[in-house]
Amino acid sequence: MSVVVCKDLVKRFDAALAVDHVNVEIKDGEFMVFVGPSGCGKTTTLRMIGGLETVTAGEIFIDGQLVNNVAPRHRDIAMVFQNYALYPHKKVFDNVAYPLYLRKVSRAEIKRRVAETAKMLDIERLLDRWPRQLSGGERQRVALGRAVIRNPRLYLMDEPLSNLDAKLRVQMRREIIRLQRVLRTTTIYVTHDQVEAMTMGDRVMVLRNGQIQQVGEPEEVYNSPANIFVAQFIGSPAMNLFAGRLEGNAGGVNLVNALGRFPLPDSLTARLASGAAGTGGARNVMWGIRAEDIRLVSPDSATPVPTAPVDLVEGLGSDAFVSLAVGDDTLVARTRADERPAENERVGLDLNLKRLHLFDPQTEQTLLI
Amino acid sequence: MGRIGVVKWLSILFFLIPVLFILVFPFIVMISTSFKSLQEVSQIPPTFIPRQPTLANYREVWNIIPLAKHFRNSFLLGAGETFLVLFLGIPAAYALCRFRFRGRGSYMVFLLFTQMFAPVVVVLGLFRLIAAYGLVDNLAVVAFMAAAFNLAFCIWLLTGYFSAIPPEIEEAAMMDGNSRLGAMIRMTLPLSWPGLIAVAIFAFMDGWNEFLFSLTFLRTDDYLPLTVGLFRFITRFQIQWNSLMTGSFLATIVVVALFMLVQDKLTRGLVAISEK
Repeated sequence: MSVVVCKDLVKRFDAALAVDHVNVEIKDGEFMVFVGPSGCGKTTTLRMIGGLETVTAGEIFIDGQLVNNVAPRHRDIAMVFQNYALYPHKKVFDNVAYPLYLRKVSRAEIKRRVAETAKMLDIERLLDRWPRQLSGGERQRVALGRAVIRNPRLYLMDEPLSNLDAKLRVQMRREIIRLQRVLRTTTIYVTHDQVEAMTMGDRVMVLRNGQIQQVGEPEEVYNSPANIFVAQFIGSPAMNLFAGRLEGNAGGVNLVNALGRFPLPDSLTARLASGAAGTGGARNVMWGIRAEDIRLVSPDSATPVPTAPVDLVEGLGSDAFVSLAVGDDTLVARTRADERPAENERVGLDLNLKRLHLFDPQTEQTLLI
Repeated sequence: MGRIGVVKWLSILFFLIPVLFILVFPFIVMISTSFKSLQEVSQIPPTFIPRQPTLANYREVWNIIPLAKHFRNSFLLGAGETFLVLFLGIPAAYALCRFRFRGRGSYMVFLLFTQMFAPVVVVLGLFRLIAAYGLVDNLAVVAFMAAAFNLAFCIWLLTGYFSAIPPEIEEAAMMDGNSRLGAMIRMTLPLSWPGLIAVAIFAFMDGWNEFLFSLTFLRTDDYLPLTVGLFRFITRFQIQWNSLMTGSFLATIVVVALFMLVQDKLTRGLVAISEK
C-alpha cells in the first residue's frame, strides 16, 4: 500500500519528448489506469515509476521517498508485462517463487506461499510445467502470481491483457479487478483500450503526446471530457462531434447547427464557462453528443423534429449503431436492436440536450465547467 | 520411383558423393599415411592402403618432437583465447545489444572493419612491438593477439544471440530483486547458452589452429603449439610425411572428440531455447 507522486516528470529520448511534465498523485490502494493511444507516454511513465527507465527531469516519490535514483530492486514494486516475461528456463513453481528465492525466504515458507498464491490464481495444476507448455491466459496468471506472491507495495501492469483473445481478456479483466479489490494494493495499469480503462480504474489518466489530458473517475472522464481528444478517445463509438454556433439572447443560449436551432437547457447554460458565450454574443463552437444520447423518433411527430436519412445500420445483437447522414458528416446513434430503422429510411432525431458537450474550436478545451 | 526421387538420387550420385570424396580425401590420405613407414610413403606408385601397416609412427612421434608439450600449448592457446573472447566479448555484446548510446552503430561497423585486416599485414609491426617489450616466447601474448583478431566477429555473434532474448525477461528479474548484472547472469546468459557454447567452440578452434602468431612470436619448443611443432617435420631436405600425418591425425582427433562431446549438449540447449 502506498502513495505515488509524479512531479513535473519529463522523459526525453534523444530529440523526442516522450513524457512532458506529468503531475499526478496516485492514492493509497487506488487502481489507477493510464490510457492513451500508442506513443502517448503511458508506458514510459510506468517504466520510470518502476525504475526501468531513467528520469530526464522531475521527481517520483513513493510514500514520500524520492526514488529517482533508486534501483528497481530496491523500490519494492512488482510488474506485470505485456508478453508475460516468464523465465523460460524455470518451471512455473520456480517462476512464481523466484522473487522469494532472491529474498532468501526459507524453503518451507516458499512452498507455503506458492501454494497459497497458486490457489488464489487457480494455477495449482500448472506448477510443475514449463512456461512453454502454457496457454496465453495461463501464462498471464503465472505472471500475476509472480507479482502477487511478493506482497509488494505497488503493482505496475503494462498492457497485461493485450496479448489475449477477446473472451479471455474479459475474463482476466474481471480477475484482476477482483484481485485488486481483495489485496487493495496500489496498482497502476497501462492500456490503450478505453474499455479496460473505464471498467477497471478507480481513476483514469488520459495521456496524449506525453501530456496529461485529464485525470478523473471513469464516469467523470466519460461524462465531462476536458477536451475534444478525451471526448473522442473515451467511449465507443466515439462521440459525435460537429461545428456549430452558440447564439445568446434574452431568452437564453441557442446552439445553431446543421440540424437546426436548439435552445440549451438551463443546466447546461449554467455550466457554460463565464465570459464564453455568456448570454449575449455569438461564437463558433464544436459540439458533441454521444450515440446513446440520441433517440430515434418518428419523423412526423406532432412537434417538428430534425430528420436525417439512415446511411448504415450495424447490429450488435442487443443494440445497433445507426449512422445518419447530416450534411457531409455522419452522426452515429445507438438504439435497441429491435427498434433499428431500415437503411435509407428517414428518421427523426431527439437529442438529449442536457448531455450536450461544448468545446472551444481553437483550444479544443471544454466550455463547460 | 517418381521424378523427384530420380532427381534426388542422381544428384546424390553425381554431386554429393564426388564432393564428399574431395572433402574426405585428404583425411583418408592422412590416416593411411600415418600407418606407413617413410619408405612406403615415398614409394612410386603410391599405395592407398598400407602394405605393411605399422603403429611405429604413433610410438615415435612423441619422441621426435615434444608432442605432449605441443598439445599442452595448443590447449592453452585454445583455452586462453576462449576465456579472453568470452570475458571481453560477453559484456561488450551485452552493452551493444541492450543500451542505446551515441556511436553505437558506428562502433559496430568499426568492429567489422577490424575483421577486414589480414593478420599477416600487421604481424611484422606487432613482432617489433612485442620484441621491444621482451615478450617473445610468451603464450599469453599469442592468445591475446589471436583473441584480438577474433573478438569482433564473436561480439557480432553474441549480439545476435543476446538480442533474441526479450529484454522484458531481464526487466522482470530486475523488478523481482536482481541487479542488472544479476539479471544478465541469471537470465540472459543461461538463455543464450547455445550461443555461448558456439562462440566458445569457435574461439577454441581458432586458438587451437593458430599458426601465424605462434610461428612469429614463439621460439622455443617449450612454447610451440601443435601447428608450428608439426610444421618442423617439413625441413629443407625432407618431409617426414608419416610423422607429420600421425601428428596431424592426433591433433585433429582431439578437436573432433571435443566437438562430439559438446554437440549433444549444444542440441539439447537449442531445444530448451526453442520453447519460447
